[in-house]
Amino acid sequence: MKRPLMTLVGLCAMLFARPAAAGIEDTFGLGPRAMALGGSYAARPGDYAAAYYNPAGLAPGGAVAEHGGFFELTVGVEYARPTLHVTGASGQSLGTPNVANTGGALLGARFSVGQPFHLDGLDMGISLFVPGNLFRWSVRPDDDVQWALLTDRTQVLSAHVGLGYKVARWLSIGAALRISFATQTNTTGHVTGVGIATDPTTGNQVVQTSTQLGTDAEVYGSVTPDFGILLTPIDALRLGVVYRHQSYVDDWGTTRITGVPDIGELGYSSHYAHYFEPTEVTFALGADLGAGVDVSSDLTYGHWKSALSTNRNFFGDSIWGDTWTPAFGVRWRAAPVVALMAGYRYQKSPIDNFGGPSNLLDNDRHVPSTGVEIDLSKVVPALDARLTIGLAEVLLVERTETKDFRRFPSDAALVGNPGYPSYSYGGHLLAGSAAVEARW
Amino acid sequence: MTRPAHSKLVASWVISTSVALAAQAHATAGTAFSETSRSAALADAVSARPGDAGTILLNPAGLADIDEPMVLLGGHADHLSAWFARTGEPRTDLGRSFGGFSIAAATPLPGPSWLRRFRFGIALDLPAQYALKVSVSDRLDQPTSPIYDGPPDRMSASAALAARVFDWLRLGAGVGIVPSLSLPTSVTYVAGRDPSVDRSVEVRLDSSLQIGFSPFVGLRAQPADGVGVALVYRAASFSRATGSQRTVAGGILADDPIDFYEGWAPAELVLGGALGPHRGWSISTDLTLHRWSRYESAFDTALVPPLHDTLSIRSGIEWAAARAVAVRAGVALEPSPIPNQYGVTNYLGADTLVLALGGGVDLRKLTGAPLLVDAHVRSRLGATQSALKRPNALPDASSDLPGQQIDNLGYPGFRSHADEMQVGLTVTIFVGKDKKR
Repeated sequence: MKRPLMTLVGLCAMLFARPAAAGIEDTFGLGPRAMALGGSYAARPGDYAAAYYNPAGLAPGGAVAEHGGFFELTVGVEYARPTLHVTGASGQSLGTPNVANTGGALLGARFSVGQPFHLDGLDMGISLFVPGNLFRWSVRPDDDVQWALLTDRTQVLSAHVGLGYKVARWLSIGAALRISFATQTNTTGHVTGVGIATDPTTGNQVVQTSTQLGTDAEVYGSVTPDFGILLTPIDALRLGVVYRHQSYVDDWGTTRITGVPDIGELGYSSHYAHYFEPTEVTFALGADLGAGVDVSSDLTYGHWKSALSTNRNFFGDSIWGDTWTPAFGVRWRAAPVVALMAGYRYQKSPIDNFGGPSNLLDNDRHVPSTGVEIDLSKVVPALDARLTIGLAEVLLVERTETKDFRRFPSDAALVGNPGYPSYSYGGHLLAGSAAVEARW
Repeated sequence: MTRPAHSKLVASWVISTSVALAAQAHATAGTAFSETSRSAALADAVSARPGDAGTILLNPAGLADIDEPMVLLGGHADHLSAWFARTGEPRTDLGRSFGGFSIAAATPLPGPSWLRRFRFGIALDLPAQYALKVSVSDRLDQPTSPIYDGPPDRMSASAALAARVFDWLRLGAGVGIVPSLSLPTSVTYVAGRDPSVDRSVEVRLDSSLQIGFSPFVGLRAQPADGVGVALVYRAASFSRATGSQRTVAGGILADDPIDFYEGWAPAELVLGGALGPHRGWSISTDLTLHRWSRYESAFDTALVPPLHDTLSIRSGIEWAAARAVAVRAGVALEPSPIPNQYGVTNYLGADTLVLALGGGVDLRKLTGAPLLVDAHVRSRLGATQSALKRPNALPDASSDLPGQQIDNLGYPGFRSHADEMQVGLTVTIFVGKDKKR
């Protein structure tokens, strides 16, 4: 009786597991403009998205003068559709947990908070992405074949709150908070009965236990800081530096079941990490080239070596590596009412299974993008608003994983691995976003 | 209870997760039973008064009264003095302190004149100590207050749209977010997969917290100067957890459906009236019908005895003491929906008298700064609840022993009492650009 019950408790412990993941910001871009510009946005100040990309950009420098109060509200949508494949050594398709379409609403605001203190250039920004599911996750053993950073990374609510201050014409500084949470779940219970029953599927006799349980669950709000500096030495040139601190959802708990026949008490502890975001530093440059053309370039260092998988690196942390991500964007105001945008980003994958037992899939990515911005005030004079549409294609570079027998404890473990002997995987994701930004 | 152990574990987790992440439509947790200091000081009798970003849930039509964008930041601190005492036993202290924050924003829509008739607002209320806290006892008879053991510890979120249909009529509609959890789960123990028992477990779980909405609508009319009437309806809401649980572990098999309800809030119908301001005075009264009789247990079963509907009355008075200063007071009587707890459950609660005081300073009129500062102090004074158990309404705790064995935590009867004291502050920032400097 002891073994099945302990196993049962162990099974239940696993139920709390969730996958590590990043957010929609790094995958598709936060809003249509950032999406269209390849995510090259740390040196493009002046809207709600700065709360994530560079909080100093909430208070633009240079010739931008925002006297008194103002209020900007952005409402939009974002949608993405994945097309992915995993092909085994014999050419067969390998199944993975479903990678669902991403769909959600965007809400952003930027407004003056310095006005009550007669302080121009002190602005706050809020960004919120609300997907169709407030969160969604898929739990699999680490050696199941699964998309490590695509399965549900964009299917969780994302929120940023930032404050920017224009210290001088050439200098803006900012700080922001990435809002997250941590959870603690303590479960208690007592066994009320143990019996024998017949499995309706196999007809075999099985053991059934009955337990009355209770839970104390606490969800703590948590925040991680981001800091940014925006230099505007001349009106046509912007330099940005951003620091984003590592964050993840910490999840821990215990379960204690009392009154177990012949044993007394059973229990376990659990500790997981979800939605891991690495510490990042971004260096950005933006310039107005004249003739209605402006360009930007970002280079982001991601400290993925400290990343945690859902099960806190159950098979070790050697699969993670730091990354450098370059991004570029260009915008051309083709006419007073229309601006065209394009961008590109190359994202090196932070994961390599190195032939080991884990089968966490991730690819290097090329991300070309484009978009258009329409000044609605030129169309409806009473409406101070812009309509922005962005499109991005995330192209996954085909990758092959071949299992290395030296990394397995036995031939049985090697042969029994779901990824044995090898597989290839790739695909693409098409994303689009549209938003209306109005200003009062 | 005869469900398999692992199913219970999952069920428990399902409930806690669902509830923990649920934003209860009627929770108004940001100021624990109110949305702002202004409404708290008026005992929430504000449905017929001109509204703002802080009255989205109390009457969404009130949003139509705002003329410029505003952001509202609030906070409160509370102390609950409560106890529970089984007959013949000393009191168990259930008191605690807690607090919370709220943020709300509202704005007229820009653009052509027809679009400028509309107003949009959102509100988010957050408890301070936890983002959320949920307790699901492993005993059905655990003494629990549906008023104090849930709403103050849950965040809530709502959004609304309002319109000035005519100069004398405002309409509003909104939604509170009510998520539901889907959780199809398969757990398999594969003996020999690994020397470690833990590593021999395979879990396949696909979970999602889907957003649902609980609607509320409101009307506010001013048929004459100084007269306001309001009608508000808030639909009932609850979060649901559904899915299936199949577990295979050697000789153990379980395959059970999951279907639980939690975060239940009653439908409410509010009739409000307001008079004034006249010589600086205004008074308002709200009459609210709470449909508690539809309340069901987490397992979608009827309660024995069932809760009953209640009719609460609340009234508030405001005096413009000076050009930029307002003083407020409020009183409310909230009858308890909890009948005599003669059965298995031990719900705690009694009729409650609410007394509130507060004030506000409009800095726009003093310094030109676009700020409005409101503060309040409020007490909720509960009567003492008494319950007497009926043995024939209680189950036999041990059929192996002769006679009826009763282990109910409220047997043979109990008394309980709860008072709450709250102080709060709300700052409203007018962030529109047309400010005088």
